[in-house]
Amino acid sequence: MKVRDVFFHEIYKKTKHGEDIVIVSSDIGAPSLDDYRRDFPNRFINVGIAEQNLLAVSSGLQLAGKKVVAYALNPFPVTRAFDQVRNLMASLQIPITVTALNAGTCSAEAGYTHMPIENLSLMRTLRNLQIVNPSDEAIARKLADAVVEEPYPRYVQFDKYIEGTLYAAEDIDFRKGFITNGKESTIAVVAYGIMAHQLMKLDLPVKVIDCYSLPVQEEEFIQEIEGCTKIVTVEDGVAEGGVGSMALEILNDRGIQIPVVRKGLRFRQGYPNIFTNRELLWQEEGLDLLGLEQEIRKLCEG
Amino acid sequence: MGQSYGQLYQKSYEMRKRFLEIFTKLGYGHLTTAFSETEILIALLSETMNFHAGNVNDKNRDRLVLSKGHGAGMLFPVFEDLGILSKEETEEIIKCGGNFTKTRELFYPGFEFYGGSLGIGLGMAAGLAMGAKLNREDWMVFCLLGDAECYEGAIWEAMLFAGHNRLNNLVVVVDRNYLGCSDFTENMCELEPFEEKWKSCNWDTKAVDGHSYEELLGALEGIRSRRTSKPLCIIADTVKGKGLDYLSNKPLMHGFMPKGEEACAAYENLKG
Repeated sequence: MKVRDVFFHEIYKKTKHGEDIVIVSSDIGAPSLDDYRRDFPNRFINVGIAEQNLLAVSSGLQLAGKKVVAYALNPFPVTRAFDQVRNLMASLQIPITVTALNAGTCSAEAGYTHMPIENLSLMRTLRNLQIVNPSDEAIARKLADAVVEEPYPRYVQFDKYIEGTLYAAEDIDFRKGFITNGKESTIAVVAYGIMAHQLMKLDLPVKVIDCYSLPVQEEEFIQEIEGCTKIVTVEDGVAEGGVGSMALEILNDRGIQIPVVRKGLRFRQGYPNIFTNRELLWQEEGLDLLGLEQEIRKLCEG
Repeated sequence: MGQSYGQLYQKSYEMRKRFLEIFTKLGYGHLTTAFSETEILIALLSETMNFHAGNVNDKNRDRLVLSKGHGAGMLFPVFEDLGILSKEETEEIIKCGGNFTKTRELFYPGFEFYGGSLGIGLGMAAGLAMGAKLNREDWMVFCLLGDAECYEGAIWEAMLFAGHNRLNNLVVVVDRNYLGCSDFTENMCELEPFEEKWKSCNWDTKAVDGHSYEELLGALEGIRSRRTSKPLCIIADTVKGKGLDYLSNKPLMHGFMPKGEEACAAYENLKG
């Protein structure tokens, strides 16, 4: 099941069991929300295509005692409503969960307007909130638990092409923020979302660090990478300000020198002005899976 | 009504005077907008809302959302008058390094003393009002907007939402002083016919003199027993800088705070 639908099914179950949850949508639904809308019509609040109001109404509902899941089409809850995000979620610390459909280039067919490729970089500039990138179903399920048990300002990006389970629920820790799989190696690949999901499935001779919740716990992250001779960061978003930047900042702040190869969207030829899709964009930007695999294996060889 | 009109007008004078004491000492603040809203805040907080020193943490208290955040300074004299803050506490807060944690518990998001992020408050107020309805609780939400704040698109998003959802437990007061920062509203981009715009979004409206307690309290009378499903918008005509003639109704005085001899003159010129 897709990670978004896993999350909403869990939210449905929790509401059915009496949790005081409301979902606020900016004119977006999902098949996995149909039962919720039918059974809890008063708890599904539609503000229309109005992301600024989505954030404000959600915050007001939370202050009235509700557990609030806001649901919008990415990138707009961040790009259109960034002022509300920074004041209400980061500064005031109103613990709402803002979920957004689409991550990175997964809806590239709809054009640049619908690519939330700068959102992670923008949100990383804010303190006191978590950016969650579910790369498997266990994370999505645990996230629904967190809505109820650990309310906190969270922004969640659901990639519509991620489904399946990679992790055990007990290994998911949103405060730590990352999980390491793969092989014992002096080369680490750092990724999140769809890139982590894909790379985890490849049998690469490297350790793969999936940063599913940012910011990561820095000391634990350092322990994970300090013995490495090379780090490769891979993201389906702009390279500026993403996890590549994060790795460089963490290393630099501690005076640790490890070469970091950053793979991300660069748009060196400008933004796409043709009808495109994720596969074509990845090929153009050197992020296609086969190319990445070959590049990482080559690095391992020396 | 708890106090006579005479007492309330005297209170207006005292609140403005106390505002001058607090903020001329600091050397920073938004005097003209605070003086514009003085009677509105007193009418709401002292005479209308179920909000007092004994219930600031009670979940059934009425809520005030001060959306025009630059008007937050006037809350300090009013909160002192209500016994919520002591003068010493105010002075501890209103200084460089002062901790405004206490005020955070009282209103959202009006503690933005660095200017206020305009346009956010009405949506929050609508969310609060909807939350009260879902909870089947009977507290009310009052929201103070600036008229020039209504250029923000988010205000119109929230206006549509509140009207559509029949949030009759929500009362907005617009401080209609006809001034933004740089110019009069009708010169920048006409807001009129303002009242009709609210009506068209399914709101009840009233228009009053925002410096008249007789009119303000008349509009707020019976506010808990209105026989309507619509939210209410009270458009309160005011004068930006009311009480100090030399600052009144002038563009570019939005962030002005008298200093030194000018501050002394302000005390002398302040009208009761």
